[in-house]
Formats: sequence, structure tokens, C-alpha cells
Amino acid sequence: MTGSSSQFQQLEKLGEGTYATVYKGRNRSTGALVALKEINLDSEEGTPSTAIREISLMKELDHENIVTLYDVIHTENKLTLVFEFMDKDLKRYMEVHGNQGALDLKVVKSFMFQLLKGIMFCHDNRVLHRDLKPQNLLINNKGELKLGDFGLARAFGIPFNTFSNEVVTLWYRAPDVLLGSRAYTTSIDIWSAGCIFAEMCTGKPLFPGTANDDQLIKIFRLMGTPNERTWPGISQYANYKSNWQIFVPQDLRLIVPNLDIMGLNLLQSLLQMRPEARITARQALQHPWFHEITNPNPIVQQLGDPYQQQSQQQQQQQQQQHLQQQQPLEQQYP
Amino acid sequence: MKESTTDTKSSSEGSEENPEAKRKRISNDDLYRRSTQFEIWSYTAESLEAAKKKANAAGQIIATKRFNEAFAELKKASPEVFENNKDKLNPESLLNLITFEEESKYLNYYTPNIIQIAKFFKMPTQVKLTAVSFFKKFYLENSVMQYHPKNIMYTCVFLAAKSENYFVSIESFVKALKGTDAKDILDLEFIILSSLKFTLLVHHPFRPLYGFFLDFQAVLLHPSPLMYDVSVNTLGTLYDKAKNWLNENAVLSDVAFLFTPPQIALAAMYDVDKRVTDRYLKRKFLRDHADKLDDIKEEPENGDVKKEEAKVKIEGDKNIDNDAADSTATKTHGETSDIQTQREQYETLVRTIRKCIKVAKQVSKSPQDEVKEIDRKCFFALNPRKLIEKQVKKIAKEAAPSEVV
Repeated sequence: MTGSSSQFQQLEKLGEGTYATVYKGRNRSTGALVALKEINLDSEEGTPSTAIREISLMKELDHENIVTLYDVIHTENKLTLVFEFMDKDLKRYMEVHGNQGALDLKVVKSFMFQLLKGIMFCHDNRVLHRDLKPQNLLINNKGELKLGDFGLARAFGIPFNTFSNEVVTLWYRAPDVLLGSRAYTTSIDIWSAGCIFAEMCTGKPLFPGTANDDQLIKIFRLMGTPNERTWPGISQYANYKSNWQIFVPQDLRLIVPNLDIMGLNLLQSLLQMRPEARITARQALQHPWFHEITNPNPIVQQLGDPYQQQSQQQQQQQQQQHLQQQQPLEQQYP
Repeated sequence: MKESTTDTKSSSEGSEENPEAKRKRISNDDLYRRSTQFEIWSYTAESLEAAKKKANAAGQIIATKRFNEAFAELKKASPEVFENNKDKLNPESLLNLITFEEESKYLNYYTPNIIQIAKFFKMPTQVKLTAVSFFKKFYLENSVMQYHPKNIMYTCVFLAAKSENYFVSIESFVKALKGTDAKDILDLEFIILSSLKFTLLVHHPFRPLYGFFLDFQAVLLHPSPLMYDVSVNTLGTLYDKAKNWLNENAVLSDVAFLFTPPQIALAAMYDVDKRVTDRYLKRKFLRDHADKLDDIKEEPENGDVKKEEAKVKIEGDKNIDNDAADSTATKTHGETSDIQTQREQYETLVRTIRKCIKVAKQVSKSPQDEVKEIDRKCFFALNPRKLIEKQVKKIAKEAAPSEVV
């Protein structure tokens, strides 16, 4: 399956990845569009380990919400990863289709659902993406969203490594990571998903911090400054400070005014300060906010009938029970 | 292949009355079954041997072609020498290629060296195992008559380290290896990557072994010990011994191509302590309905392993067997498990484990002198010109004294 680079015609540059340049390309024989991720090999270490890990993970992650790696091509001084072509990334999509960046709630719901499905698949496969941000979420003209750029992703299994704490782009970085946690798990991707959720609704990044401390303060300003009472064990973190300015938690409604109550509830569950309190991707997908996607016959239409109403309540109760029964994903990794 | 495996699974589980509850956990075994390791690198004993033979045969063809080219070239340069010494200078008598059996012995000789190198660099077990896996897979696709194992071995270690996120700089890496340059290794990187079909994630038996260690405790010690002489300590010893067993036997053998990681892990435990392991398996498979009360299946730690080993299946075509294995797994979860099925499942599993133990212990040490001879052959297979030139020199030497006299 090893192709040659002459198989593809290189078109315009699409962007710079974490360690590579991405071009649009066309398969000369079929005319199909692809994304060509070019990695320079003139570094002294041969193939960069980021590329090795991205190839390794992409080969295992076969899912409709994860961009597909078709082929790997080697030329004298570069390695080209041939990916499925996606029209734009989410950042660009918001610029083009949004109302000052803000997307229609129907679109937000569809994208969030797909984002969470992609994340769940990664986490089920014991892969952390670690770098979720609008630039890494790719959208095609069928409205499909796929996770891309796994350059910083890694598999997490035994032995449980501590990871370098310089991974997630600052704005989408979870507070526990900002505090210096090195034993973080799937919950870091969930925080990023929460930030992206809010950003899709408003068109503006939720926490556009400029440095580690500034990022933390921006989070505290909205979520409230944590302390030992609200977050037992917080003082153990390397970057903990006892003299943080005290903020009280704000109502998320003020920040994301156009989002309905159910959506705010989901957002709140994603943006939990304590990593262990954050909802899992699997739980999030079962959140009532997604009912119109998961349930082909919207329950809202049944509201006129008291009997139906009862069954709706039962359904929700079951939903809640179900959520409670679920073990957080992290527990299966000793 | 991969698609159908997962689809069958979800549809069979979807028919249960509570599909979501069933789907909420992804066991190690589910993971393995949708991995490239399962999809691409699973064999039966026969198909594995066929792959090795094919690699050797392809290597012979390449080496023969290389030899013929060198022979023709040298003959063209000095036709009279070749013409006068037809009996000593002909392809039939000179060409001495590595046979399938020799190639296997040769590779078995190299594999333990990978472990030595990994140890030298203090690499974690994971890197070591992945490097061995890369090396073995590479020579299912290629022959030593195409690529000499020495640098392939080094490059596999270097790549495995990158893949498992254990950084070693190329400079410090080659510094420790005599006679190998950075270029030798970097040039081989892509050749190995493409022989591996870019599938670099390897599932090893150590993780399921740890899962079984936990489940052994749950099943054999709780709520009260089942065996008078089994305690946390004895199970800890069993676990440690099983780890050693994997390191000594499984790593060098072909078990990873033939069995699933949980099967290999159970084989290690069974061979280390048959009595305790068998008790565990019987308890898991042959429990009567009376002790359903102390059912452990609700405990999160066990759900994983339970499904895993219930699904452990006969070797053979793994894809075909998968459906059957899945349905048996569902049965163990259900309330009305058929005793007959349980018995069959248990017996199948024990048979599989025994086969796995046999394969794991099959690797014999290749005798040094034999390996030396194969090594010589390998050198000439890769450098046929040197072989022919050597023969020409020998002929000249033999002829020289007679001329003087």
C-alpha cells in the first residue's frame, strides 16, 4: 500500500500542524482530494517520534469521527501522511458560517455530539488526544466533524506514565493540568470539549489566557477560585498558590446566554474543575440535551398527553439512574 | 475484517434487553479484537509457517538474482578465468542459499539480543517487547537474504523506543553499538515502518496478566479463601513467576502471532501453578447456580477480565471463531448459562492454554557453530560478488604454485 508522492498533485497549503505542514492534494489517477501532511526528515533523529506516535494511533483508530490515515509515503527527505480530505477546520468554519463566530445551536449540537463520539472512541481505545482545539477539529461539507492532528496524542496504558505537562494548547487546557498535574487522564480532553462547546455558542474563546497563571485566573474568574473545601487535595498541586484572588462562581448563563438550560447543564458537567468530577464522553453522549439526536422521535412533541408526560419523566429518571450507575472510565485502569 | 468484527458484536449485544449497560465497558479483549494486531498479525500455526516459508523463498529469489548479476559482471571482466575453471566457477556449485530451517535458527539467535540491547539502555519492558514484535513481524515480510538482521534488530529497538515514548537520541544509541552508524539505522527506519504496514501499536500479555492477578484475588480469596493454602502472598508469587515466564518463554516464541494476549497470560499462570489456575478457571466456568449469590460480576475491576477470558477462544481462524466466542461471552453474562456450554468452554480454554504453553517453550537455543555458518552464508547471499571473487582468488592461488614449478 506504499504509494509514491508522484501519485498526488500538491495543491495549496492548508496549514501548519504541530510538527508538519499540511497541503491539499489530489490523487492523480482518481481525482480524489486528500490532505498531505508533510514531515521533514532532515532532523538528526530520523522520523520524529511525534510522527511515529501519530501513525501508530491513527492506524488503530478507525472511526467516523476521526480523520482517516490512508497511506504513508516516504521520499528522500520527507515523510508524507495521506489523510482523508476535510474542507475546513472548526475555527475557520466558525469564521465563515458563524454569526460573528457563533454557530446556530442546531449545528453546535450536531458538532458536540460528533466531537464527543470521537473522544469516546479515543478514550475507549485508551488514547488521549491531549490537544483538542477548534483548529484540530475538521469539518467536511457534509457537516461531519472529525478529530485530527494526533501529533500530541498518546496511548495510555500500563505502565502509567506521567506525561509532560506542556501539552494542551493553553486556552483549552484543564485546570488540573495548569496546576501541574502529571497524572491526568481522559478528563483533560473533556475539559477541552467544554471550552470548545462554549466557543461554538458565543464565537469567542472561553478562556483566552496568555500564560499559565493568567489562564488559571481566567478560569477562576468564571468557575470560582477553588480551595481545599471545593477541591480536596488542591493544595498538593505544584502550581497551587494560597494567595490567589478569590472569585465566586459565575452563572454560565451570563457567558453563554443563547444556550438552553439543558445545554448549560451539559456544559457545566464538562467544565468541572475537579478532573474526577468531570463527566465522561460516554455519559455526555447520553445527556438529555442530545435527545433529539439519540431519540429519532423528539419527546417534546408528546407533551400534550399527561400519560406520555409521565413516561417522559420515567425516561429521564432512567437516564439519571443510568448516569449514576456508570463508573467513570478512569477506574478501569489500575 | 475489523468492521465486521465490531458490527457483529454490537448487533448481538444490541438484541439484549439492556444494550447500553452492556456496551458501557470496553474490555481489553474488545480492544484487542479491533486492533491491527488482531486484524493483520494473527495467524494459525500453518499460515504462520507458510508466511515464513514465503519470506524465505522470496529471499532466495532475490539472492539468486543478485548472485547472477554479480556472476555475469565478473565473468564479463575476465572471461578466460571463468571459461577455464567451469567446474569450480559455476552458479550451481557456488550458490549456497539459506534454507527455511536455517533462517528460523538464525532469527532465533538474534531475538534474545534485542532484549540485551533494551536492557543495556534500561528501556522499559514495553519497549523491549515491542522491539521483539517489530523484529519478528519484519521477517515475516522479508528475508535475512534481503536485510541482514543485525541492523534491522538495532533499528527495531530504536523505533520501538520512539513508538513507546521512551526517548533515546540516535547519537547515544549508536555510540553504544559497535560498527553501526546513525545512517545505517535511519536508512532502515522507513523500510521497517512499511514492512510493519505502519501498524505500530502492540498488545502485550502483561496487562491482562495484571488483570488476572486481580481477578484471581477476587475469585479465590473473597468472600473467604477457597483453598486453604492460597493467600494474597501466594498469588503475588504466582504473578511474579508468571511475569518471569512471559519474559523467558513467551517473548522469544511465536505465541503473539497465534494466541490472544489474555490467553498467553493465562498460559503463563497455568504453567507456573496449574493447581491454582485450574481452580480459578473451574470456578469461573463451572460454577453451579447455588453460588450465584457471591457473584462478583458487579465489581468494576472484574468486569474487564471476566469478559476477556470468557471470550478466549480456540486458536485457528480467529475471525471465524470470534462470533462464537462472542455469543459464549454473552451467555456467561446471562442468567441461564447452560452447564454443557460452560463445560465445553472450559475445556476449550484449557486446550488452548496447553497449546500456548507448548508453543511458548518450543524455542530452542541455536548452536553457536551452526549460527556462524549461517552467518557466513548470509554475508555471501547479501554480497555475492565477494563470494565469487574469493573463489577466483582461490583458483588463482591453486594455479600459481604449479606455474612456478
